Amino acid sequence: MAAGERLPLTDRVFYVYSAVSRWLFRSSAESRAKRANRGGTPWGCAISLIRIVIVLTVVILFPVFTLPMMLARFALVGRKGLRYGASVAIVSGDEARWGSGVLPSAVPVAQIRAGLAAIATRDQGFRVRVLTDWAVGVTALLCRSVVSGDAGWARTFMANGLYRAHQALLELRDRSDVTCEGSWQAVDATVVGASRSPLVEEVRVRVTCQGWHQERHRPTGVPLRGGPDPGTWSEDLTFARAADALTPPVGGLPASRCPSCGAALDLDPGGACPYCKGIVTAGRHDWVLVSWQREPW
Amino acid sequence: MVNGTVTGVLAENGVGIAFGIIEAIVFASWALMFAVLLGILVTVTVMRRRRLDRLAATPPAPSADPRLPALLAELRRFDPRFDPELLLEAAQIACLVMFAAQSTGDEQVIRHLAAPSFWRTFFGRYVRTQARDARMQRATPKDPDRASSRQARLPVDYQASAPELIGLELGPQQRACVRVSFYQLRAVVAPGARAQTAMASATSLSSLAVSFGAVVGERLSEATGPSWLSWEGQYDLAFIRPGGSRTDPGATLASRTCGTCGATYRSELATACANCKAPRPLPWGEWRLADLTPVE
Repeated sequence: MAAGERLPLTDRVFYVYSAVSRWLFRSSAESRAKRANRGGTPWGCAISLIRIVIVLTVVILFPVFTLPMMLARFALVGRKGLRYGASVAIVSGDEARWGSGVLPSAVPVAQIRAGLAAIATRDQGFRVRVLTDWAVGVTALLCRSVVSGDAGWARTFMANGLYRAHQALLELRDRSDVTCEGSWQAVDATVVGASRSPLVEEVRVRVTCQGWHQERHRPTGVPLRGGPDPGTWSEDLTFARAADALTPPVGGLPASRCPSCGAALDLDPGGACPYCKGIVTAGRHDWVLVSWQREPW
Repeated sequence: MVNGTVTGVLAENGVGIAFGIIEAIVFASWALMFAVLLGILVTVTVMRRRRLDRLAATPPAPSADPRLPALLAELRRFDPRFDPELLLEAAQIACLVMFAAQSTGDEQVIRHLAAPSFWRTFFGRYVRTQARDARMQRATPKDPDRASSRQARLPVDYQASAPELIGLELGPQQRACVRVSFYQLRAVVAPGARAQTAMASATSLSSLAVSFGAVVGERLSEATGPSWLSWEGQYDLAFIRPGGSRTDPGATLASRTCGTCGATYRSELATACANCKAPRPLPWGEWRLADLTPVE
């Protein structure tokens, strides 16, 4: 809580109630544990009875302290809040854990072929195989980046926006003591979407990964997702470039070459080549990874 | 003697009346709380059903404005260095920092990216309330004995589809609209977390009552385990900047290295230089997030 931050009165009332109830629940759990260790005495039983009465009173008084905050927040969001509440998909529990973030289904093969053909017609150097092979290499670098918590591993293939978001997410997870261990690799890569618009060309590659990964909350040791057992899952990598970009003669980013000057790839954190100073991860010169989605694991 | 008896009766009556008033207040509060919850649930359920009917009857949301290439060309005549990629970058970051604010309570970064008008919108208010709640949870003492009673909201995952520029308005205030689908996953580690998250997304009065009972039960038993909250959807993000603004070609570099002292920004979430405290410029210049609208 920031120093000097003023809370609305209704929130303050609720937080005081919440702190008191937390203290009561905690002390009643502690006293139960002590009783179990020492065996019950008549005096201890009387105290427990009083505690139970207080806990019940706190439960009974729940709406008296909660309702003002509820009504104040409802007044704040108003009718629009209800309308948005109907369309905003906030879910909890297992439904959130397993039901969200599901990968979109592959588009029909004819549509993929048409999309790839449209790209290849304009750019004679375009090869699908180069992108799918690159997706396999990218998966290995993503694994290193997530496990080490260092976004730098992803600098040579991620678009600037995705890279910043990836870096910020790793930083957020680190601040919250969320760690990831694991080792996995891509064993297969297939194109599941391809499109071309007046502004951009996009190819979505689905990779099948094998290995293991596990996330934990460091201070409590609580396992969050995954486990030490090996498994198989899918990830979608979407590559995009400007609609007027052409495959560079020396192969570009998939060949670890600067798409602008052809030098060996060695980018600064802003995605600029040290030789030609061009920002090569903006998608203007070559394919870059613009989206990385993993199925629930 | 008579006086003493009268005082005793009056005191007894007074206590009785006070208890009666408290009972009435408690009863009325429970009744009102259930009425309000029932009202909200009925309204949201009806709205959800209407929305689903509407979605089934209408075609998907329109994609990019067909006039977009022409509008971009017009904008580039006044601002030759304008790059739509920077707006897509801004959209990715804006969604992530909203997630950060809700998980850690740190509002500073989203304040840096958003226009003042954003805080008057529904999502602005929602993010602010969620961030305040996260800060309150974080303010609980960190005594190891109390670690189990502390509620940790952990930012676990954030994934977004490739953002797409779908609209542009030129005028006294320029407005760009970027569409992005994202998915955020938070873990909640605390006693009663499972029931609390179930309460937060209860869809019926009975499920709400059951989860409330479970919160009390799980807190008493100190059962600690992770529970999950996710937010998924497709949204249109509106960015604004004053008409006549020009893109600064050095902004991208300036967002990496402090223009005042030359230090490199170590944190992606930093809004000022850690060395000289100078504010950090944004790579997309004057564009600021003004609104977020769910795509129907």
